[in-house]
Amino acid sequence: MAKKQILAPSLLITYFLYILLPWLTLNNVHFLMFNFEFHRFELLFIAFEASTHQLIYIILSLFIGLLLVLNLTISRFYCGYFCPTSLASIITLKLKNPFVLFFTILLFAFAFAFSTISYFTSAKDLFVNFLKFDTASIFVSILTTLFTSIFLLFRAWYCSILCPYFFISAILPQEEKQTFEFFDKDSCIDCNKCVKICPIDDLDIKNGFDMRCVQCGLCEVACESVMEKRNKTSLIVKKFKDRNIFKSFSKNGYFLAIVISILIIVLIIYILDSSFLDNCYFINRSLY
Amino acid sequence: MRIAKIIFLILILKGVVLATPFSIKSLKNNNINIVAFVTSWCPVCQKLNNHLLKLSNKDSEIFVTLLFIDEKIPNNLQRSNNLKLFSIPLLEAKKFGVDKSVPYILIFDKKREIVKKYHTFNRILIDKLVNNLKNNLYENGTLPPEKRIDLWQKNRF
Repeated sequence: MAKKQILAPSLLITYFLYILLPWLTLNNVHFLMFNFEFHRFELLFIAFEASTHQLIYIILSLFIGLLLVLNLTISRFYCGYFCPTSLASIITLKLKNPFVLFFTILLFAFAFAFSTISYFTSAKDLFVNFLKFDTASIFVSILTTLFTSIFLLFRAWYCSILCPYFFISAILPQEEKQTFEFFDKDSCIDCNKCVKICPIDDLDIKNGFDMRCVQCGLCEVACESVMEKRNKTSLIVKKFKDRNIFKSFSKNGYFLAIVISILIIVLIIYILDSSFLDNCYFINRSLY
Repeated sequence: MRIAKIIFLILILKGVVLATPFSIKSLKNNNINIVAFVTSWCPVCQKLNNHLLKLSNKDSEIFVTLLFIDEKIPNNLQRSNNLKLFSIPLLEAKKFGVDKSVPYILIFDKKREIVKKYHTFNRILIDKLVNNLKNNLYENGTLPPEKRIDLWQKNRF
C-alpha cells in the first residue's frame, strides 16, 4: 500500500522554507533576494549590482523558466506536493469552526504574503516598519486579501482557471502523468463523498481523466473513510503505487527541463552584465 | 603660544585653502562645458571617463571637468589642456545635485548656462547634444529664435 498523499511532508517543508529564506542573511546579503531598495540581485550570499529593469528581467525569466521546468518534470504534482493552496485546503478540512478557520487561514495567508514581499525588500525592515503603511506593507495587505480569498472562496477554481501554472500544464500531454484513478465501479455505493470533498466544482473522478485535477489526494482519503466500515480499501488509488512522483514521466521532458534550466542560468548571467547598468549607487561601493 | 597655534593651524589649513574648490564660475567661457561627477570603481563611470577623455583630446571647443567623489584622483588618466580634475567629498557634491548614484553629468552651453542633466551615461545622446551646441543650435537641434526665418511674419508685412 502506497503512502497516503494527504499532508505530504513536502508541503510543510516548502512552506517553511519559503518563509525562512528571506530571513537568512550573511553580512547583510541575503540567500535569495531581488533587492529593489539597494539595487542588487542577491543569490547564495553573493550580491551583484543590478538596476531595476535588470531585476525585472531576471524575475520574469526565472518565473517563466521555473513554470516550464516544473511543468516538464513534475507537472501537476507540484500542486499536490508543493503548492500552499493544497496546504490551505487541508487546513479547511481539519477545522470545522468557521471563525477559527477564517483566522487561521488569514494568518496563513499573511505569512505567505509577507514572505513573498520580503523577497523584494528586507524582511527585517518590513517587519519593523510594517505599521507605517509604506508601499511594501500595502502590497502585503493586498496580497493577504488575495490569498485569503483564494484559499477560502475560490479554492481550486483558481487552480483550474486562473493559475499561470495551469496554463502550461493544460497544453502539455498530461493523461499519463496523473495518477489518481477510480478502478472498481461495482463496489461503489454512490455516496459521492469524493465529489463533495473535491476542491474543484463539478469534478467527478469516477468519470475518468480530468485535466483540472490538482493531485491533492483528498478523494482517496474520503473514499477510504467510507470503505473502512465495509472492510475494504479505497476505490480511488494511485496508478503507480511503487513509483515516486519524479519517476513516472518521459525522458524527453527531463531533457527539455535540463536544457531550459541551463538557458535560464545563461540568461541571468547575460542580464547581470555591467554593460546593462544605468548608474552605480554609493551603497554598493563595497561590491567592487 | 597663540602664535604657535595660529602657525600650526595655517600649516594644516593651507591645503584646504589653496586647493581651489570646484565652482560653476570657474568654468571656461566660450566653450561647451561638460561637468561629470564620477568615481573610479563604477563600471559605467569608467566608460564615461574614457569617452570624455577622448572628447577633450579631440575637440578644443569642449572643456571637460571630472569630479571624483570621495576619492583621490587616479594617476593613470591622460591629461590635456581641455581637462580639469578635482576630487570632492560627497556632501559637497550633493549641493550640485548628486543624490544616491553616479555618474551625474551636467552640460553647459557657451554662455555657461545649464542645458541638460543626465543621471546615466548615454553616448549617443551626449554626442548629439554636444554637436547641436557646437553649431549654435538649441539642445533639440532647432535654430535660436533670432535666426529663424518666420515666413508668416514676412508675408504679412
